[in-house]
Amino acid sequence: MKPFALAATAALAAPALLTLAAVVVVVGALAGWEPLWNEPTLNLAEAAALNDRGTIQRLIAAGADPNAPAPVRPPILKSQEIVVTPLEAAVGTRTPTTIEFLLARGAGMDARERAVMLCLAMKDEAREIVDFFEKESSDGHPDCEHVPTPW
Amino acid sequence: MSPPPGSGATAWSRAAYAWALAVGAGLAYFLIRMPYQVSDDLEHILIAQAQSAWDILVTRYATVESMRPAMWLTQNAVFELAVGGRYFPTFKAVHLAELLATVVLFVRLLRVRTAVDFTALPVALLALVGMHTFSVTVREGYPVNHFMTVLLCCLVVVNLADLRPHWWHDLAAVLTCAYALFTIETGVLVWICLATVYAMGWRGVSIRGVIAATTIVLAYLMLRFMVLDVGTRTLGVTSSGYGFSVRNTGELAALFGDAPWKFYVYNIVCSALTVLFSEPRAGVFQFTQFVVRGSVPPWSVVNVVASTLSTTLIATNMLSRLRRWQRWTFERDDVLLLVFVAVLGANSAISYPYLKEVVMSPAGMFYAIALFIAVRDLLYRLRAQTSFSPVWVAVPLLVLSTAWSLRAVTLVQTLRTSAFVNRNDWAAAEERQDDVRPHWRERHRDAERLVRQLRGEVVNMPVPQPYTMPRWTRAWVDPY
Repeated sequence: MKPFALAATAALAAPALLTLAAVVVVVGALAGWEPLWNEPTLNLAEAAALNDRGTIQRLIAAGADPNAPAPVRPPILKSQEIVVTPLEAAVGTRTPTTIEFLLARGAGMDARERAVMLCLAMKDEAREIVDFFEKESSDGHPDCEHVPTPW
Repeated sequence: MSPPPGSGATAWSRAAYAWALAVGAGLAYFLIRMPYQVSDDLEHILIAQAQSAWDILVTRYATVESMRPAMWLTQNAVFELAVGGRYFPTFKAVHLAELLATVVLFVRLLRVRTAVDFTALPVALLALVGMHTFSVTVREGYPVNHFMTVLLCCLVVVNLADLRPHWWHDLAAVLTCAYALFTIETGVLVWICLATVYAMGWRGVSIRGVIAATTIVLAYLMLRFMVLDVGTRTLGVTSSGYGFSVRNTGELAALFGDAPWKFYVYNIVCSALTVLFSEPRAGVFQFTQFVVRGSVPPWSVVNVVASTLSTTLIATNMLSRLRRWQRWTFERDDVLLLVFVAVLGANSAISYPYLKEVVMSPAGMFYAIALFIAVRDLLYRLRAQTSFSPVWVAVPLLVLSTAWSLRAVTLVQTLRTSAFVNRNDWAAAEERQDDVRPHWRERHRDAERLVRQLRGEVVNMPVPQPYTMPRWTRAWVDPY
């Protein structure tokens, strides 16, 4: 190979691949094929587990029940499918943001649900969520050995 | 525009524009699909809804530490332009127009005429969009991204100066300078570009135009500092990176309260270094910290290698021109290289109060132009010297082009991630803004309805789920 051709190939190889990808992305989008911008269909519990407040808002506005348990596919929360409420799933995010978001949109948390969530948070060492429950109520910690939890 | 002296577009020129537009269109695709961030965006849209252009001019010509009437007026004008309440699409259209115009004017300045020129172009284009200073410039909307506006204005005046002289070039250059200056403080760099290219011999804009632009800059400074006493940001106004971490205002005051100038010098030096070496980042010596800890993520290596290799090439190229510069003789490429030096210096200097990467985006853009010249000259030299071992050029070029390509991919991934984050923030926009909601109603009776409309539009936009990205890719994507 001639010296200039070798250098030109070196300079152009990666940018050419990238530009070709850009063209494919644009042409694909025009044809309705968007591999780099697709959103999987989620139920409310899965959206809560993924801290996806946009989807939560959309599903609740469309009439989804914020208290209904739903299956969460692997590996979103665990390596196997589990059935949980959106609030329980939100413990998996390790922050109280989505829990607060759900509570503000009609999710209910009775004493049993609170105990389940707090025990899950303690089991996962989700410190921020434990703090959130401690601030939110002075009921103290439940006896987690006797609280059945989904994981 | 009238064509520049001695130029002639070739098939390579057309190929260069086509390549640039392909890159621009690829970026545009992700930009269109990405919702804007809530902060600044929502507040600015509500201001545009509540105030007429005249009200904005009267009440917002100057605020604390900033004087950006053109920014407010532009946002208001675009808001008013939106047909049938289609605000986001209208703001996005402006954003994309700015992006594509920037890419086209960037390529025009490089004057691609031969196969060698064309070979050097893609690396420069990817350096333009892959540079960390460009990320926020292209990603955020306020809802008009004024940092992008400044980039475009810089390119407009330099391109005008590169043409044959004409009276309307003067007029356009002066108006562009004034618009940029009253849009955001970094707009002064547009004047720096104009003055530099004139001093180096480009006469597309005449001395009358340069004097008029200079007069506007002086008037701006007098108005800002002597008449309105708007002032500027100083130590302790915002947090900023220093050493190995971001320091809050209290820490900065404790460290530099007695001698703020030391902090300012640090910021000026770090601003230049971040463009040249991608280290430090926003004042934090991040790569150094990774090395000390013994765990350097691949994205950090890619950033530093791409920038260091590029800077070495540019510096070597400049050194070979020094003798000519000392005789005050400048070829076309010399002018572009010296504009880069001038913008880097001025851009760093105005970054003295605190460090924010997006502020350095004009210097980052001219860095990409300088890189084009350095790579192209290297290729010309290689073609002329057949005895030269090509491997010594091909290997660094391969590393360079691959590293900048990875950085450009990082930008795409950042847009995808931001889309998810921004949509989440919009979903909670009303709660987030609870403290200011009463003001919305005071400003405009329909303000809350508009917030709900905007939130509804964003929440219904599909965005990529971060969890669908393979874990291994995270090590290659710059998260900052």
